[in-house]
Amino acid sequence: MDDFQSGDETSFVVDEVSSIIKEAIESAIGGNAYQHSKVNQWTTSVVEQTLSQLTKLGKPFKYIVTCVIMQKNGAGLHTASSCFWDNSSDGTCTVRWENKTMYCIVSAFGLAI
Amino acid sequence: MHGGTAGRHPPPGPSKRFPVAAVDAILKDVLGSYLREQPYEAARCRDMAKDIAEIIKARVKDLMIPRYKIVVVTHIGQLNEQSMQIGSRCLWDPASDTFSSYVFKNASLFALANVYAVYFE
Repeated sequence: MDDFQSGDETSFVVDEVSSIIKEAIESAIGGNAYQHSKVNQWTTSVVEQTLSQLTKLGKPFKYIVTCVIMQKNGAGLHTASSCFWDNSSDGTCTVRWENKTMYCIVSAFGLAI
Repeated sequence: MHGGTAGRHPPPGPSKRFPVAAVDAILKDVLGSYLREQPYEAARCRDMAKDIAEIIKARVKDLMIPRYKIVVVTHIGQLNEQSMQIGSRCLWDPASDTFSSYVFKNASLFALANVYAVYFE
């Protein structure tokens, strides 16, 4: 007797979240060159758009979305994360995007309620 | 026979609030002690970012705060006259969930550590 849930309603689907993030990045900064005065507004807009699309999925999750926008200058950047959660229901997705003048790295973490 | 009131009980909330100050101190201590004299080196800093995230998670777990899930994110980058912006937003319950953040800088690198604590019933 199969008892398991298909998991679609209550698990973190990486592909779905990844495409949400990509769309948010493209619409906020796609086609723009790095501008220090706009960066604050851009990170806010990427993160808020991602969060609102994630909310529309209607899943019982709390979300944390982090965005890094860095000017291309030859400098190195390393990011790591470590999480204490429930492996079967929680998940994370990171998208790396770049254009000629900047890098954008967005991470989304979803924790089941 | 009357039923009782149909009202909901308000959600109980965490019995022990997350100690943000203690976590701030952990972040300051870990970043400071691991990176104080460390010059930026790509391979070494890549491993340090992972190790530091794991160590911070372990120390926060040692605080034994019940019913909280923890997410630790660390960034280590080279200081090179470039400009950058790091931001995050969370969709959660502000009454029970919180975060702690610390930035460390030395002559050749910077490090940012964020700890997010999310309550679950």
